[in-house]
Amino acid sequence: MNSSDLPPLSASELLRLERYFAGSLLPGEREAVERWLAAHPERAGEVALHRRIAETTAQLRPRPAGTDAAWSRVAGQLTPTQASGAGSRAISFYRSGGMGGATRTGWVVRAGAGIAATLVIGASLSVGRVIGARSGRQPFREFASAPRSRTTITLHDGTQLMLGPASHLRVPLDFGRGEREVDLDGEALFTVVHDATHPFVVRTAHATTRDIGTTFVVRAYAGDGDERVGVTEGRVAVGGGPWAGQRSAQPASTATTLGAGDVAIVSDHGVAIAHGTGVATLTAWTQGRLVFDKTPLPQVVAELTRTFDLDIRVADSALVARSITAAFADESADDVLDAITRALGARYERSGRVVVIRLGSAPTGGRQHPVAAPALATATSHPQ
Amino acid sequence: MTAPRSVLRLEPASPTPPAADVRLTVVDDERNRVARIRAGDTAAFEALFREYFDPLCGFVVGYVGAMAIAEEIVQEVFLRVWANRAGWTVTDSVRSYLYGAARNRALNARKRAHVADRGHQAAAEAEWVPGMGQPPESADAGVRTAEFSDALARALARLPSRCRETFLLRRQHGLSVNEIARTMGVTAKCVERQLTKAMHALRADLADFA
Repeated sequence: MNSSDLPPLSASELLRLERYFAGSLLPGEREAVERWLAAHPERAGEVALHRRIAETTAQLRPRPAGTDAAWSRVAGQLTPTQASGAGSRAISFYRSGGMGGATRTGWVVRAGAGIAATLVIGASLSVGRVIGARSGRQPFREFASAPRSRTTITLHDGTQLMLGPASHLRVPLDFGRGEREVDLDGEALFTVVHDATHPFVVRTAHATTRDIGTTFVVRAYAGDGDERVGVTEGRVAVGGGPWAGQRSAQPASTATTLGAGDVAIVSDHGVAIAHGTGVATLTAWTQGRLVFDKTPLPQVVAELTRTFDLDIRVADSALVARSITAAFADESADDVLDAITRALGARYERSGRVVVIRLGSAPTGGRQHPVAAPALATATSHPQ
Repeated sequence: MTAPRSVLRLEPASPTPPAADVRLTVVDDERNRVARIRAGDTAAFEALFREYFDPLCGFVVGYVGAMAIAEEIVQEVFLRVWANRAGWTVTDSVRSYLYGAARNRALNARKRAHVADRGHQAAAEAEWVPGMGQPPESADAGVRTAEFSDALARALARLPSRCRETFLLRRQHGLSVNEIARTMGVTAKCVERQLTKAMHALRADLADFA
């Protein structure tokens, strides 16, 4: 330990040593370090320890992860591009496996969102396709709804559900054998026939919702930032977390119980509960109503996109920070856009499906209803 | 500082390759790779997954303790890349992008896990720090490698977290200083400071082995 009596190596000397150990020095630099080492034999012990630390750290590895198994799980969830609008990959096949040794094969077939929308615009689409029968994963049926549509589905256990616009629901083929588990991407209102021996479980990307006898609504659109679960009747338990939606998640360890009127907001920060407010907003779509309650504009735009199958762009970033409070019943897309842009002090131009919202109140745009906002709609904006 | 990524690389066809059984694989230029994934090329995505899944799990397990949880998190990182691939932009290095994304998720997960269950977390930690035995008794230059590894693992665990992260990204994952800076969202100067701090602290902690 004579080396501890020496002045400590400078930061640049240490970094040079570190790069020397990593083998990332240029030839000239390398020789300079070696000359320095030869000229400082009193540092030999210290340098040897640094080298040993560096080399041993590189070897301190946890046991290897199960890459093959993980890949087969992931491969089963790959779906073709949603954004490839032109319907160019309406149906795509994906095959995994075949890397020497034991071959693992998985097939996933799924209709692209683009073509689904063009085929069934304005109508509700309800398809139950069998998927995954040949793969290692559990086979399931998938129900999908197009933008602008709501779909009512009755599962064979009697559970009724209404699938919101642009949503996907997966039901395993062995649904009901143990727990009644479904996977949801989007929003749906569930009216569950309670059966304590076969709990009903809804899994979303970030949450697991278990019914305890009930009608409840789950909203989990990928672009929303948070997920919401609202209870209109009975009780449910909600567990949140990055892997809470996965099948391997431990049930209920962090679950929160909700009663009628409660809304759980599952975000990256955990599960927050709002008592007695917000359920009406969350279930408005099931009655064909559109309700915003201090909803940030980006979320409003996403909602309108799904509800009216529009391609809405906000041209002024200043608008993005605003919020909307409004309620609509049967208004047309133009009535809704008109009321919202009016409240924002903005205007919109529409050409077919494409709507551009920008600041300014020039009435000469492509607006089709430059008259007063509909009486039913009250729109206000909240700068944040 | 960053090495060019368009290189010919020797890749073993199986985990323990007989010398003759190696494949020559052209590792894609990073930008090309991102472009292919953006276009929905599953083969490019699979290659990226196979290259990074294990190292990323090894990195994340340091935050969350259990390997099963680390795998979930890393899997989620890749699924997110795939789901949002159309808008996937990588400013500089795919590697720092992936490590950065994995790190964010790991930190969030740990925050939540801490709130949810501190005890479980502490128990899970054991899976990462290998050999939680007693400190070595006979500390001379000839002590066995295993004792040194154990002492090093404990010394690493005692480092301040940013310092440990920096050191591990460098030594275990071979990231360049600039890549670490982007992964952690700090400056390269800051990374260098943490690296030297780690080297000083580890050496002081393990001085008995000198």
